[in-house]
Amino acid sequence: MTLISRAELLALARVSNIDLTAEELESMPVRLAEVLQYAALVKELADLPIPLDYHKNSNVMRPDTPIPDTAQEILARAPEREADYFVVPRILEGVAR
Amino acid sequence: MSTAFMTIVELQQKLANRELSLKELVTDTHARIMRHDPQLGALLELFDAKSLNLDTIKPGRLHGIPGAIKDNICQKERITSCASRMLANFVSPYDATAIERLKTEGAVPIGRANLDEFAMGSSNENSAFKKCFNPWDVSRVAGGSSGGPIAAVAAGFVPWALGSETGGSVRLPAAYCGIVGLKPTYGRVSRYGLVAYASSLDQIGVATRTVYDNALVFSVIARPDTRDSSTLATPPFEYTQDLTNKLPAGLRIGVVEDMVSADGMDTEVVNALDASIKKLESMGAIIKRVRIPKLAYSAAAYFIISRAEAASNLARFDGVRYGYRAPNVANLADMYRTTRKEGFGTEVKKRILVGNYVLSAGKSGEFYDNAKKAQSLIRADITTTLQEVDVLLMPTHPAPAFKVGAFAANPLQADLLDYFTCGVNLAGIPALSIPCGFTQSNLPIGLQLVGPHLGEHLLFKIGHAYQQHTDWHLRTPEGYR
Repeated sequence: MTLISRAELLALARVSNIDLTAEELESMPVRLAEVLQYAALVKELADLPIPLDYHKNSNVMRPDTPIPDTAQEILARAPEREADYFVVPRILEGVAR
Repeated sequence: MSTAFMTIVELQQKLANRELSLKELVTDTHARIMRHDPQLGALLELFDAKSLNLDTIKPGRLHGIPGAIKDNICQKERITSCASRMLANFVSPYDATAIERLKTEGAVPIGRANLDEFAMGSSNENSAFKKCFNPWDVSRVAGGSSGGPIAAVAAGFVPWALGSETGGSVRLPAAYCGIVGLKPTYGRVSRYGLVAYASSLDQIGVATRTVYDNALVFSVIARPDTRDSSTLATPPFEYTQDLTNKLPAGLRIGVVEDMVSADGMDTEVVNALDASIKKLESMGAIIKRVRIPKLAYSAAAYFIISRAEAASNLARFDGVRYGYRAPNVANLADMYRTTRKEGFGTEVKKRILVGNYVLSAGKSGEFYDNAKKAQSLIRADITTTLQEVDVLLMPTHPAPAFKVGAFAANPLQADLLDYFTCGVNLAGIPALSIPCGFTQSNLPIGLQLVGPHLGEHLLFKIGHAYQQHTDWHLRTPEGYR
């Protein structure tokens, strides 16, 4: 079984920018492990020399046609704004707001 | 006049003959939904009649026909919540291309339909707002993730609905609820305005009670779109043409043995499939038994690819530009993490964490790369098989709709409900789930026809002919008139 330690879970949560609830901290290691254990079935294919499809992607272009300016409509949906900017809390940790 | 369970074609005739006015149709639809939906949970919002602006509805191929829209497809100036606290109050500034197309043809979206949060689930039990139940037995799930739109059609509220598919989210609930569900070829329908889950697999699908109606709605929404560069450069087509009561001459149907005889298949489902195969044979189809062993990797590959893309796609919900923002935070990093802690449900968080795990340094080679290999093999296996036969026939689901909460202690088993459907999404090809029987306890059973790339018209021809020789799609659940 692919085991997920508490430290691994916290590291994953950190790169995912998600804090977990106390209940999730308890349940998530088992939930992740059972999915990963099932998904590990694909490792059987590791030695097969199969080209990967994602190398076939190609770009698609279209004419650069201007569309009506929707900036104000978009900004109107911001949780917090000032003039034409989105406002966010202080960026530096440990600095009082 | 009650318009419950009427098809698009029937409603069009009544409107054309002036037996029914647009206003009467909308009034009756509203009244039935208000009467029955509190017990069912199909809709997150029913738009009030005034806001539908009936006077301004365009003439067109779906003039005045009400439908329900899964609430992860943007409708201009309406909330698009994805059944998540994260977007509970988000008002979309624009219409998805599919919605724009439907409105251009006069269709009337009458509400936002329920789903598993961000389309992640197979039962519609993961909605942040309310569960959606099965119209045939409200102690059972409608299926998911498009439970709401499918239940709205199955309960006769509306004749059509849009859902979305990533691993089976239209076909599975359609089978559970006894209606028709289409998963189009990847790239047939624009994803512009469909909130992304796993972009390489996501596709808007159509739910209806008849195959003919399905072909009609699909004809309206299937076309290239410059706003979605993954749409295919295939011209619009009238998919309702040449739908008759006869199967195409010499049609070869490959029954996928690996799936029909998979572990955990319910006897009643197997018997219904057998009877349907005999029916198709009696209608002139040549039945062949085929094996696609690589499909055994579908669910594992699907888990990895979909979660990896979800982790990337859902990174955008960070409380900065729109949607929920957690109050009382210390700094920016705390705002991101707390917003996502409070905005997302546990299933969504789980999928993001799995996605970041399989993409992480040291793990992506064994998980993600091998999943992409599995996808190549599944595609190749299906393509080869579709050179021997014209379409594939497989179960949509192993057993009828389950009791609400049945998988609460075993979420992996719930995830594995995609086992029969997700191979089609990995292969990027179309599939149509159609009603093919009922259990003794009166629960619907579905089968799926899987076609070659761009093979929707063939699927519609077979499905329509089958419906002219069977009456499964004419049965309706009690108590919704």
